[in-house]
Amino acid sequence: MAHNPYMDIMNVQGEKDLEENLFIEAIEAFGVEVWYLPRTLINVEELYYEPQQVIFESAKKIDVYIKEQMGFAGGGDILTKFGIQIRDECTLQMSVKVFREIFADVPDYHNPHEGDLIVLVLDNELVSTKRMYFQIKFIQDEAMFYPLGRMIMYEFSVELFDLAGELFRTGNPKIDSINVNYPVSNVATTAPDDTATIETREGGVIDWSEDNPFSEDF
Amino acid sequence: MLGYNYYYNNSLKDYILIFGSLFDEIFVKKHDELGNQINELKIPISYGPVENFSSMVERRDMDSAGQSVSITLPRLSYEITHIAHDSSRKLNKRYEVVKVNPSSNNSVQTEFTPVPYNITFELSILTNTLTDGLVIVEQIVPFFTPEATIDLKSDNISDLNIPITLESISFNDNTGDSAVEERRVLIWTLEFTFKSFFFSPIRTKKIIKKPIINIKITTNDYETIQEIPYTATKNWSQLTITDENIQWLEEITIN
Repeated sequence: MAHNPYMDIMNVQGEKDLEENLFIEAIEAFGVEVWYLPRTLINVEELYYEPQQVIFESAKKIDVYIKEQMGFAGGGDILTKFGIQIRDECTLQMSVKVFREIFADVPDYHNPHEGDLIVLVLDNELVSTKRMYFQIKFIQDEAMFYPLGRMIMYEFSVELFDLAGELFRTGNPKIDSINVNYPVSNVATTAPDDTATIETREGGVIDWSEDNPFSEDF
Repeated sequence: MLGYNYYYNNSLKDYILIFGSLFDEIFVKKHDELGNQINELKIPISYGPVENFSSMVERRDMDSAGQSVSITLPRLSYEITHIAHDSSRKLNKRYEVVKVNPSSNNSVQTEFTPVPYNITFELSILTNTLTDGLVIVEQIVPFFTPEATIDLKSDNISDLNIPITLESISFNDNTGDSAVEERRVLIWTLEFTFKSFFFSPIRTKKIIKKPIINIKITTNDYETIQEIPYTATKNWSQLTITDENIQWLEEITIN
């Protein structure tokens, strides 16, 4: 059987554009505006394929649609032996066309990457604004399976970000200030809780003056 | 009960602090392709089991600055997992340690020999990259051969040398066994044995200043022939070995 040339819905350019524009308009109407932060890798260790350092150097606004309507998915707030860990997750949808237009000025960056960040701005009040830093775990680019013969949507599985010394140099002080509020990066300091208590309290107990293997003079 | 009033030497808490302080100066440094240092992280450490409410309040205080992340990494956590008596270090339980009583000249402080217990500590390292974990582990392992000894001084604990032994290291990486959407979790677990002592309550005893000696001379059938009561009049607390003292001791023998 030959393909029917009179019902070739996969190759009608006008229909494709109409559908994509409707999709973009729906996201603009019912979605939220987020900051998208591409990840820059510094000195990738080829043995483990891990970067020595991650820097976020730019932040661009883009509209996304949040699939979850009644709250975040994921494990929620968990008290582990490492402290409170918040395992919020959600699924975001974004227009392929809009993404490529926004990042057109960035060389060799035509598609989103796993590991990039999305800063979700919630509770945007004058007094307090809550910015939640989500990291893209997986990009499902075929979630909407080529309607009318064109891929028009990215679907991101994102989780709340594990901050591990990444540097924020986007130029947006509200985003970059995370390096100040969670000061585990850039300078030799520590989180405001934890270690300080131990360092203060052990002072009168342990004798560092002796030749012990942990002293600096050993 | 065991016959004593309330006492608390704070020993376990001190041991927890001591153990944690061994690992409170660990750093991870990041370098670019040219070898220039571009970042330095001081790795926070905390005792694992904490109260839920306080942790949540503290977490909200941190988030109140306006930003929210899942957790900051890398991170160290430690906790006591086991405490067991160490019979190989047991001392004579009748022996008492005598100390000067700083608040009185007429009494001394005594305490029984401490009881040896081995405390098992578990130190956990949470990272999201293998590199960070390797850097941290390598800053710990060389100091334990597999034992390292530290010196303690405290009002609560007598001066002690505490050997700490690194018993084992295990590693868990969920990469490869999970879906691509799963959060990567790398946990190193180091198990240590902390050879501690626990101390009984300090008791106050009066100084013996006036010994009374009743000497009995008996036959082989324990029949008393003669009783010689004697009360020493010397000030025993100031007794020093001089010729006069030797003479005095000889007189006791003669009598």
